[in-house]
Amino acid sequence: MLGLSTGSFCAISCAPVAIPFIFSEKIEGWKQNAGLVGMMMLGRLVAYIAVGFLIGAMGGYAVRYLDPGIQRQLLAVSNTFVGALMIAAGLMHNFPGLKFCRKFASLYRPGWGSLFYGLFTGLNICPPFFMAASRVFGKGDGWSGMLYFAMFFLGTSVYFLPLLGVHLFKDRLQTVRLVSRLVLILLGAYFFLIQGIFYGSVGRFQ
Amino acid sequence: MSIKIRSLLPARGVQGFSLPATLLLTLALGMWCYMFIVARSVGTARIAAWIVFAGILILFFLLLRTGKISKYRRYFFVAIALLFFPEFIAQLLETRGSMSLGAAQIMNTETPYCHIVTSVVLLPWLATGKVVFPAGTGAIASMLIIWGLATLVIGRGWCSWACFYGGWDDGMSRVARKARVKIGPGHKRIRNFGFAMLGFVALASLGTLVAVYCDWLCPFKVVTEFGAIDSIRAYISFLMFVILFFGLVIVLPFLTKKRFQCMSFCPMGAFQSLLGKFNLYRVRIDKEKCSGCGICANACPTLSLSLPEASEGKRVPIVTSTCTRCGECMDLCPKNAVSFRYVFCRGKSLFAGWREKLDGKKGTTAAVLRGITGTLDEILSAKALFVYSGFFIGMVFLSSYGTATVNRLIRLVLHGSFLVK
Repeated sequence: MLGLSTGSFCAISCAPVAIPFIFSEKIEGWKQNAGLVGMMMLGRLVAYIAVGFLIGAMGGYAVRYLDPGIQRQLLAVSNTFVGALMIAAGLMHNFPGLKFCRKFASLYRPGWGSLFYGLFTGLNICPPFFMAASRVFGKGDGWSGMLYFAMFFLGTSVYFLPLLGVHLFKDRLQTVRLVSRLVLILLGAYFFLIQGIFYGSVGRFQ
Repeated sequence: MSIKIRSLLPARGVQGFSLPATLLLTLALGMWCYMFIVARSVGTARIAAWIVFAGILILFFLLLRTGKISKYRRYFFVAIALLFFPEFIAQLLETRGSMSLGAAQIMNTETPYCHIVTSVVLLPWLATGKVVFPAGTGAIASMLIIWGLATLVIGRGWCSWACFYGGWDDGMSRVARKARVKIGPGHKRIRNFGFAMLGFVALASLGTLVAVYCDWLCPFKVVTEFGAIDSIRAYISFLMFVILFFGLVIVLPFLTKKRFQCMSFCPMGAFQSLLGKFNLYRVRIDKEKCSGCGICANACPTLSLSLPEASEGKRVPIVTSTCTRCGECMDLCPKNAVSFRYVFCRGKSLFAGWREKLDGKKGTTAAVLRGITGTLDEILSAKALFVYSGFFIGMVFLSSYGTATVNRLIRLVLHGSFLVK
């Protein structure tokens, strides 16, 4: 219920990563689209379950001993990684002739990319995520925490369902795709430099 | 003297308006100008108002008479920008004593709201119902009303006729005689970059619920207001503003003769392009008249004319949605093939049927009627009404900020002080 009632905030937090990624990929049909969205959801699920287990297992210790700054640090680290991945993917799409891009393209698979995006956005501690964590603190049991976060994941995932319809507009997506590939670089730079490195280091001391 | 008189006549290859049509349209704008600018002012402000009033009408008259849309529009547009900032900054200095924005102003939502913010805060507002910008409801509503109505009338013409920021890079793009760095219609990625900026700014603001563009990327913060420089973050963001201002608004337009900030960085420009489809006017290129020389496409300051592949025969440029209706292509086309058109009426004049009937008739009445319908045709043409609307909307900004700046300049000369203490 918490996931369903607050999931729109999760979708808002994940939109800057999910939207440019999905729109920048060349999507031929619903299967491919559903595959990408599914992998992203799987990444989120893995992140949620891991965090749920960890917080549930730590229980009261998490509240007592965890530095509040760790939340920000975790977020900054996840933003740095997701930003780097977005920059690399954006450069690969826009400048396929570059040596780095050719190398990256040989390693890059949209499905795996999607999984990583999901994983990192799953670690994005948005307000609903924090509320779910506060419920799990009191349980003192990793498995209960995991189950709670799995259910929370299901509730929030409803808001990601519209992404399954992207392929319906594939005929009109040519320009949108070109623009989305540029957006990937810009958003990646923003996440990497400002939301990641800056807020993870300098931002702490201001 | 002969040169001056000739400059008032329609140029070769450019269609100017007849004297009666020009005078009638100037009179119609003059009435609004008088009501908005002159009638409400007193003292030295009245002198300032008359100066602004005369300036607007002279430019409007010359534009119509010569048919050189871009040239006189640019003078008008640059004047809007140059007269806006001194008054804006002076008001900040008088009320706050500084251009920087302190925590108190943010808490009291006293930040002035500019139209660019709309494109930044729209998605967060739709998603959460909250405006992620510290401005009051009144300031937001008044700007949205002016901008919304203007967009309905002139579409993306806003970016070449009314925006009080656009005059900076439009002016700078005309300072150099030749482009030091050549950018042409083939550089589609530069044009698309504006849409990418819109996507980036809108999504980043949505994800973080912060007006990302205003916090980090707005070049015009340097000449308006900026956050108090009291932290590392504030230093970095101010440095970004300075770099972007000099890079995008001064240096790149100077080097390339393109409006870089408006074309490829301003999210509002891209937003206007999307909304600009819903208005009366279009820029059309007559395929019969066009020789395919490409002068217009190469000169377009926002790369809004794309050229088809050479293999496809005559290369008639295609007008894209990013067109700001500045009129540059119309001024330059040697075949007079580019023009404003109504969406609903493709090139055919409103009184064409009447005039065809009158053409066969002789006598004074028929001649008078031909003259009247001809003048009415000119006045009701898309070109005349678009230009009229553009000047009218620009005049709304000049009526307040422009007049106030000229008034301050007069006070500076008379009393030696620009600011009111």
